[in-house]
Amino acid sequence: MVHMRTEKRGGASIRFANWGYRHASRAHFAIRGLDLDIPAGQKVLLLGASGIGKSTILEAAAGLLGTQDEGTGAGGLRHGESVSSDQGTAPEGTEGLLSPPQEAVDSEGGTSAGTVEVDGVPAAAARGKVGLVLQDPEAQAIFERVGDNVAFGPENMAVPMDRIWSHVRKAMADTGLEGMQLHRSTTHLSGGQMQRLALAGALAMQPGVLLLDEPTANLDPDGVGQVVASVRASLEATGATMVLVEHRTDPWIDMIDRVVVLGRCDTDVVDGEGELACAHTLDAEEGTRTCVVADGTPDEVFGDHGLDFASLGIWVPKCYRRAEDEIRRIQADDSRRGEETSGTGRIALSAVDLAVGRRGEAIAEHMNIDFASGQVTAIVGGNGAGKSTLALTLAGLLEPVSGKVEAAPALASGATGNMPFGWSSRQLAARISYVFQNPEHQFARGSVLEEVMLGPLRTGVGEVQAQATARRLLSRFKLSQYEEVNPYTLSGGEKRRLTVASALAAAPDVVILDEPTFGQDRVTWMQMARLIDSIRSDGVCVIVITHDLDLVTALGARVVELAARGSHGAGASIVQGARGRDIADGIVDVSTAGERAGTASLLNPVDMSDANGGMVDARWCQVDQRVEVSRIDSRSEAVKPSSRSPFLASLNPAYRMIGGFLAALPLIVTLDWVSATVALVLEFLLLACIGLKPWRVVASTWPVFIGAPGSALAVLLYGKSGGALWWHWGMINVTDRSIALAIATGLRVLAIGIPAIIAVLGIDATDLADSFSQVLHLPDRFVYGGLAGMRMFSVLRDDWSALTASRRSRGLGDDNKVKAFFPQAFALFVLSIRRSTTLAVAMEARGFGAPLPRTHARVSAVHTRDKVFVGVCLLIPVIALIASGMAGTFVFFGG
Amino acid sequence: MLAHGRLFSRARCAETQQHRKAQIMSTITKDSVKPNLHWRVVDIAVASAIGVVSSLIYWAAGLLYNPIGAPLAALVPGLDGVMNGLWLFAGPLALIIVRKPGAGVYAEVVAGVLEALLGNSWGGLETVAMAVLQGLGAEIVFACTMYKVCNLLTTMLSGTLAGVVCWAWSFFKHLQGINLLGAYGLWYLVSTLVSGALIAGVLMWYLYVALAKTGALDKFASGRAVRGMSV
Repeated sequence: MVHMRTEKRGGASIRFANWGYRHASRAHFAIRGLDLDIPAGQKVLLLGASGIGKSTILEAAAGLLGTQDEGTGAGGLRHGESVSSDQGTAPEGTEGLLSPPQEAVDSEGGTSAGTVEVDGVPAAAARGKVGLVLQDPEAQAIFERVGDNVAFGPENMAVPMDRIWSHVRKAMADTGLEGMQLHRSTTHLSGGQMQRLALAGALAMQPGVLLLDEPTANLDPDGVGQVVASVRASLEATGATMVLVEHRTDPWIDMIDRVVVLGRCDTDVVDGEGELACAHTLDAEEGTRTCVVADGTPDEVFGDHGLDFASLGIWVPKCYRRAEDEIRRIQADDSRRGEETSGTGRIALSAVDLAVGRRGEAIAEHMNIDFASGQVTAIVGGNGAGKSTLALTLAGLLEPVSGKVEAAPALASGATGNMPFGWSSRQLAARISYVFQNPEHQFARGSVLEEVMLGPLRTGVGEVQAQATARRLLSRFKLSQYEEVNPYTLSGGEKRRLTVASALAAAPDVVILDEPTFGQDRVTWMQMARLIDSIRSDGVCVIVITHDLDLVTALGARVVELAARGSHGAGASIVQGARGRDIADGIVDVSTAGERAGTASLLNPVDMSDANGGMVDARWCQVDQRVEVSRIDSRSEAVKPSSRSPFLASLNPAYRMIGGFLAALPLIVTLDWVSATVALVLEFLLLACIGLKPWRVVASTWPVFIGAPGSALAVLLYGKSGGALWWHWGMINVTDRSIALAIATGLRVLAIGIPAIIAVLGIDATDLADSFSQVLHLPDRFVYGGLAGMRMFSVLRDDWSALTASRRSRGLGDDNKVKAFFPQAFALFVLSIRRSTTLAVAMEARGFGAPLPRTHARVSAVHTRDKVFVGVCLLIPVIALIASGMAGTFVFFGG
Repeated sequence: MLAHGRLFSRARCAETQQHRKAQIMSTITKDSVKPNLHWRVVDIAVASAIGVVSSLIYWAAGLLYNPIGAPLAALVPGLDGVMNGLWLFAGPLALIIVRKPGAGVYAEVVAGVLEALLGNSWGGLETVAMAVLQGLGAEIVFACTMYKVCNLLTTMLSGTLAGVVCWAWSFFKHLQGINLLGAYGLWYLVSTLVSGALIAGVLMWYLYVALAKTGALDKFASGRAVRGMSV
C-alpha cells in the first residue's frame, strides 16, 4: 500500500501494524501492539529510556528481526503469512486474552507478532530500501579499505560493477568524504569519519529510509557536528525518510518533523530499576510493556507539560528545556561542597613534564598537572586526542614516554617507589582504580558478588570483610539483587555501575573513569553522576575522561582539555596563537576558573581574553588547562604493495596460493637430501630472479630456520636407525641412517617452508577474498564473512591490551603468565563474539546474506603470468624429484 | 501485586535453574527435532570470530612451545605432543556453538589463512592445509550424528580426531624419518591424542558453557539451551 507522497522523490513509508517482539532471552514481549505509520520523507525522532526497545524497532524496520532464513527446518513462519498464535512459544503468564494476529518464532528464538512494512512490502523483503547506521563505528567497518566499505551495499544489491563506483562516489560526496582516498585504511580514520563512512555505506544503497541508531553517541562534539551535517545534506539530496534514535538531540532537533516518545504502560509492576532478576533472565519489564506515550511535532511533544521527561529517561533538547530539565551542579549536602574543583588541597597524583603515547611515540608532551583528593578533574578533548592514553598513564597502566607520574607520599606509602607504573599489580589496585569505557574489558569473575570482592581479596583483605565491603557497595549501587548473577548478563547501565563498584571495593585514593556516561539515558546518567559525586565527597581524587558537557556541569569538575594540533575552531586559534607567542613546550594554560585566573593571566593574558570571549566558554564551561597534541587522522597513504617482489605483487592471490602449494607439497613423497637440496637451490635462484635476494628470503622466512633444526634434531636422536651406531643413551640412537635422515629432514622443512611462506606473505586479505570468490568460486557469504571477521583481528589485539591493563589495575597482574592467560583468553572470546554479532547485523543491514546474486566492485583478474607462475612452481618439485631418482636417493615417504 | 509478581518470578527461576543444571549435565541437544542446518549471517560471523581469536591464541601459544614443550621433550621424547591441543581447538569450539555443517573446517580455515597472511613458524600455506585437514577431523564426529548430538563426549571425540590428523600430518611432513611404532612415535601419538581430547575437547565444552552463561550466545540454539531459555 502506498501512503501519502511528499514532494521529494526517494522517500519510503514505514508502517508497523499491531507489531510486537519478544527476545529469546525474555519471558515477555518487549513491545507489543505497536501501531506506527511513518509517511515517506518524514524525519522522525524516537525517544525513550535505555532498554525500552528502540533498537529492536529499528532492526525490525530494517528487516533484520523476526525473519526466517530460507530453507529453515526450525518451524518458523514468515511475516505476512496468516497463522494462529499457538505456533509461537509464548510462555505461560503472558496475556493470552487477545490472541495476537500473526506470531512467528525466528531463528534467533525470538517471537514476532504483527507486521512491519516498508512501502507496502514486508520489511524483510525490502532490504536495500532501508539503510541502518549503528552506534559503534568500529563495528560497522567491514573491510580494511574505505572505498570497499561503501561499495559493499551496492554489491549485495547486485548493482552492475560499472555503476557501483558512481554510487560510491556520490555517497561519499553526500557525506563530505569526497577526496578521501578509496584505498585508505579505516584504521586511520577518526570516530567522526568512521561514522560518516558508515552513513556513506548505507546511502550507497540509495535507500528510501535511513535508520540511525545512536549514530553520535561515541563521538566528540566535532564528530557529532560532522555526522549531523552529513545526514542533513544527504537527506536534502535524497528526500529519504529518517528515523533517528539518539539520547542527546540538540544538534538534530531542527531537522525533526515528528517526535515519538516511548514509555512503559499497562503496568502491574512499576519498577524502573528492574528488581526482578534471576540467573538467566533479567526481566526488568515484567508486567509492563513498551508503548507510545507521546507523538507529535517537537513543539507539541516538548511543549506538553503533562509529560515527565526526566522519569521517562529522556534528555530534553536545550531549546525546549524548562527549569526542571536543566542539568545543574548536583546538590549534595556534604561538608566538602565547594571543593570539587580545588579538592582538599592535598595533592594525590601529579604529572611532571609528562609525555604520553603508545609504543614510545608521544602524542602529548610536557604536561604538568596536579590532581588533588576530593577533586573531580574532567579530561576533555576530541576523539583520538589521547585522553585515554593520558588516563592510562596516570593510572600506572602505561609507561610514560618521558617525564613522570608522581604519587604523593601519602598515596605511595607502602608501595615500591612513588611512580605508579613501577608498582606491583596488588599495590596499584589498592591505590589507583581505573574504570574502563567498555565494562566487558574489566570483568574477571563469574558472579556480581565475586566481581566486587575481587579488589579487597587481592589487596590482602580477609574473605569475611571482603564480602561485607562488597555487599555494602552493591546495596549503595542498587545491585544487591544481582549478587549471584553473571556480570556479563546485566544491562548496560548496570554493568557500568558494577565496574565502578568493583573499582571502589579496594578503597583506592584515586579513581579514574573513562567515559562513564556515554550512550546513557537520563535516568542512568543521573545515577552515575550522583555516584561519581558521592565518591568525590568521600575524599577520593576523581579523574573523568569525557566529552559530556552536562557531566562536567553536574560534577562542577575542573577541566583539562587536550586540544588537537591544527584542529579548527576557536580552541585551535588559541592554541596556535600561543604557539607563536611563547610556550615552546606546547602547553597552553588557559583558565577562566576564578582561583586559577591569576596564574593563567600571568602566563598568557592575551589567550585569557580569547578564551573568555570565544567559543571555548560555550563549549566547555571552564577550561582550566589546555594541552596540545598531534593529530592522527589527516594524512595521505600510498598503496601498499602485496609483496616485496614486484612480480609476486602483480599476481592473482589465488594463483599465488596454488603456486606455493605446488612448489612445496610434492616434496613430501620422498625424504632424501638430493631432492631437498635441489629444490632449495632452485627456490633461491628463482626468488632472486623475481627480485628477492637470498638474505631477504631468509629474513622473511626466519621461523622455518628455527623450526628446521628442531625437527632435524628429533630425527637425529630418535629416527630410524641403520649402519654404524655413533651414540646410544636411553631411547637415543644416533646412527648413520638417522644422521642422513636428519639432514634430509632439515633441508626438506626449509624447501617446503620457504615457498609456502613467500608465496602468500603480504597478500592483502581483501584481494585474497575477491580472488577466492571470483577465481575459485567459493561462496561469497563465507568468503566475505570470513574477511570481515579477519578485520576484527586488529580490534581484538587492542582488546587484548585493554584486558591486560584492566587485570593489572584490578590486582590480577602479578599472577603467573600461564595462569593469567586462560581467564583473559575467555574474556577475549566473549568480546569477539559480541563484536561479531553486531558485525552480522551491520552486514545484513547492507543486504548481505540474502540468497540472491551479488556483484563485485573489484575485479580479480587472471593473466598469462599467473599461469606461467604456477607452471614454474610445479617445475621445482618435478626437477627435484627427477634429480633424486637419477641420483638413486629417492626414498618413498622416508622408507 | 508487586510482591506476588516477584514471588512468581523467583519460583520460576528456581525451577528453571534446576532444569537448566540437569540439561547441562546430560545432553544439551535434545532441543529440536530438526536442527536448522542453514547458515545464517550471524553463524558465519561468529564462526569467523572464533577462527580469528583462535589464531591470536595459537600465536600466543606458539610462544609457550619452547619454554614448555622443550623440557617435556627432554623428559620423555615425544611428550611435547601434549602441547598440540593448543592448536586444534577452533574446529570443535565452532562446531559446538554454531552446529552447522562445515563449521569446524570453516573456523579452522579462517584461523589458518589469517596465520598464513601474518606469517608464523609453521610456514605460510602449510597452516592452511593443516587447517583444512584438522577441521575435517574435528567435523567427522558431528557429521556422523547429523549435527544433532552435541555433548561432552562428542566434543571430546572431535578433539581427539583433530589430534589424529595433527599427528599424521607431523609424521608426513617432518617426522618421516622416525619410526611410527618406535617409542618416540608412540609417545607422540598418545600425548597428541590426549591433548586433543582434553584441550580441544573437554576444555572447549566447558568454555562453551561458560560463554553461553555470559549471554553472548543468545542468538544460538546452543547458547539458549545452556541459559534454559526457549529454544
